[in-house]
Amino acid sequence: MTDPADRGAAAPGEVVLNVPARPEYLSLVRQVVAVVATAEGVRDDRVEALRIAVSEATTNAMESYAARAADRDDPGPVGRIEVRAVLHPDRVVVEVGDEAGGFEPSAVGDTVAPDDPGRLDAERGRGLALMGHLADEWDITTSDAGTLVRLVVRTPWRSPQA
Amino acid sequence: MLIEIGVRTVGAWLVVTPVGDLDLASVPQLRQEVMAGLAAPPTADAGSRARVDGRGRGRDVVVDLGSVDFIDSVGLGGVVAVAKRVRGAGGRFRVARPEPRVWEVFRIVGLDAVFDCFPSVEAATGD
Repeated sequence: MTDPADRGAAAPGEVVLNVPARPEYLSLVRQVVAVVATAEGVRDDRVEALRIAVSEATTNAMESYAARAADRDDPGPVGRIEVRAVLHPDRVVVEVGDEAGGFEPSAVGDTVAPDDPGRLDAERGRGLALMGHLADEWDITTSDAGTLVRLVVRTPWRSPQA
Repeated sequence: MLIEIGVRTVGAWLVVTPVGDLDLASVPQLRQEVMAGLAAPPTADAGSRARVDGRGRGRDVVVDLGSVDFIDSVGLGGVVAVAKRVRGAGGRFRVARPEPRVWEVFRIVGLDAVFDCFPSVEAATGD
């Protein structure tokens, strides 16, 4: 829960990726996390859940930078997003951190429930719902400095014979 | 160009086939391609065109998901945006041949119940 810049190098069992906050890097982030989880034997359906949850968290970080640039009417330098995947014996933890100045949870906008009659009209508001459905645990820590999303996927691992 | 998006006409239908991932990087391109496809005059045979014009409504669109490997909430929003645009103009909107893991994402957020989904493009454009 520290500033991404203070967290230092990757410890054993960690994979750390630091990318510019540009949509073109989204697929790379998903791919790296999926490769790590697959290489460590996480079952395919949980890898897929992790890919989507990580995509949501990273998209939110990118949109936070974009919102800040719009507020300031100045794109400024491209922000950075740090993605840290930590493998534990029973779970994968992925942290997605930005330095986009945090956000007001109330400003995230309405979320769309799966049974909302108006759901066909909503083009946004599904990210948190997907993250909540796909990750076994998740939390968001936001401050004036930035936001850290922590995703936990408990593993059914693949059996060695599989 | 981030992903390839095929746009073709099958009878009265505009068939849009994104290839790859539907996410924040590719959705602007999807919207742009669909809007361009809708703005272009139908290239179908005269009979199809007469039917479309005769109904006095917008074009029918199939989003062919068969080559989509990944979709997240932004990708879903892109499909919703296309559906709204098509239905708003009086056209019909369908999706075709999603991979089970892609359709599962629609299901989680309840969008499986509001889109007509067909097992093939042929079936989706059959009437």
